[in-house]
Amino acid sequence: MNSLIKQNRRMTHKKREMYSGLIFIFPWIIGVLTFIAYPLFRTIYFSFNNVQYSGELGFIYNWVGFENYHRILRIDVDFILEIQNFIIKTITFVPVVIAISIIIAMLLNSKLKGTSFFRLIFFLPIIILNGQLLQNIKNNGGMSIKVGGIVFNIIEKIVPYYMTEAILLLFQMVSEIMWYSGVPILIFLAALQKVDKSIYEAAQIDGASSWNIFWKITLPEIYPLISVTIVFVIVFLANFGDNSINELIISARTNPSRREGYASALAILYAIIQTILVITLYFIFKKREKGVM
Amino acid sequence: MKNIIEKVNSFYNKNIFKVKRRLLGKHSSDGLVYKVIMYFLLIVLGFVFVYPLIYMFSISLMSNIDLVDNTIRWIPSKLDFINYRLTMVALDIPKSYFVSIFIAGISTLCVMFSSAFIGYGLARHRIPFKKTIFAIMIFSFIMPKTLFFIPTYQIFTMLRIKGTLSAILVPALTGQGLNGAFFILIFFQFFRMIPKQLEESAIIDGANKFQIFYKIAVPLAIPAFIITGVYGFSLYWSETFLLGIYLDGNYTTITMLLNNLQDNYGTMIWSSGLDSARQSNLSFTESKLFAGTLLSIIPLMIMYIFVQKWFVESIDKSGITGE
Repeated sequence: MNSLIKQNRRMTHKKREMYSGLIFIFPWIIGVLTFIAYPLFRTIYFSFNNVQYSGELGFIYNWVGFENYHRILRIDVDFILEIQNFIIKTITFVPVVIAISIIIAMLLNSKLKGTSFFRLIFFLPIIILNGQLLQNIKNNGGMSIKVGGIVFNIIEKIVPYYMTEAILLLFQMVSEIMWYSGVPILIFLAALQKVDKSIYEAAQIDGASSWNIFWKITLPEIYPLISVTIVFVIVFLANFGDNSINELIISARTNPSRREGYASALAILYAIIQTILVITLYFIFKKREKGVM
Repeated sequence: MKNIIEKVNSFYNKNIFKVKRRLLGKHSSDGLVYKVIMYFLLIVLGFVFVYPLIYMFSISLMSNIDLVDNTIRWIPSKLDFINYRLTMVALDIPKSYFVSIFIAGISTLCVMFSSAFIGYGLARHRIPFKKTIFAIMIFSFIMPKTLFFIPTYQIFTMLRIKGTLSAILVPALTGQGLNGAFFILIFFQFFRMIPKQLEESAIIDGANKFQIFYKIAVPLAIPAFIITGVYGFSLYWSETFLLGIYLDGNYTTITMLLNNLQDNYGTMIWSSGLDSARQSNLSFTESKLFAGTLLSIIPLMIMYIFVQKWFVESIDKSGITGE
């Protein structure tokens, strides 16, 4: 009898907890239904229609099947070109961003004096970076470090001449790539600070070299975060104001020969390709995790 | 003779050890060489980071004649803030500052409130379909923002809130603001770390869930509020595309004005009756563009300098890295 009451009470407690939890996430459910689920359904619907707008009748939809997709993939070239650029840019930038941010996070994590000042510098892009800002700087030569005469000569002497071009190109991109690494640095730094310091000390006493310590302790410790960070970087690059695919979609909306239907089809294709990119890169790095561990 | 050589040798051996120790350190991480290399790397990387800003600042001080002068690379021939004075008018400063601060501030407050509320609900309750909820969140995070804006715009038109502040605040309050899922997950991490005993003792004292939320959970999640506040504010400050569409041009933030700086500048010069053909310094060049760009981020940088200490501390405390 007693236990029955207890059980009953526990049940009501559980239920009550569930209800109060639902009250807390209620705003989110409404938000998802109005700003994710319904728009997603509408976008898909638009993409199969030829949408027109007239002042009196409002929006008029004509079902056209896959015509919008056909036009994007087979007839027009602009989206195909842009998406190729986006894929290549993402695939080349992401590993560099990850590598640079791990290096910088490790530098910031060292016991040197003055790291807080450098942190101030390295976190600055997180706050100020936006598409227009980057475009303004990039288009006017502010992102490419001008390699002066001496440095150029040194590079020319050390590096075979067919590679100088590539290295100079790297100098042109390096600031831009680094400005994308603000949040990744932050994530890796937070991870490094969680690593127990005594592990490093024990390894040092055992005579492990810094090289070994990096590969055997530091990297496995932060490896699980690499795949998460990759997702973040890709999403950031995809939504960044500098990305011309977004401009293409926005301008298609008001272009009389394209309108909302075409723009929706563009957005859906873009979303699919971006998702494929995210999933592939996520799992490539997720898989290796087991090998390193 | 042999004796002397031996002496020199032993002296050398003794001292090379000392020197070696000073240079390379006891461990690999406290020698002088190590420090020099680390500082060198930090300074080089730091320079690469701030180079664009230094470059912009230096160019923004130059007159148009300095720009074409090959002998001038970094330091302008004379210190003159005319570029700033001209672009300040074109960017409608200080009015646009106030609009930006107002829009970004009020939206960030809504985002903070809603993410904390929703994050708490997810972290401290047994809710059915929790995994599905997280999957939807990650989905909404990954999707490009261009995917939803056409129907959303229609919804706002239907609800007659297009062009009003509600068009931004309603999504922010329902956890669908800019990077909404990201902020909810940050709060989720924080609230998950609160020990259960705290909550239980509050229940025994007769507190209900909402009292627990704002008396116990919220004070413990202050770092999450700081992260969301700083990052959210800068996101809303920088956003032009969604804000421009949903606000329908009723509010023009500084970043929107920066997007059309060249046009605004041209109109300003034209309406002021100055002749840009005669005065070479009035025509639109990169020094004007850079002055405007810097002006548009100066408030953010000032904010960053003030809050950076808390910001960095909050990140240290945060559970960002837990899964």
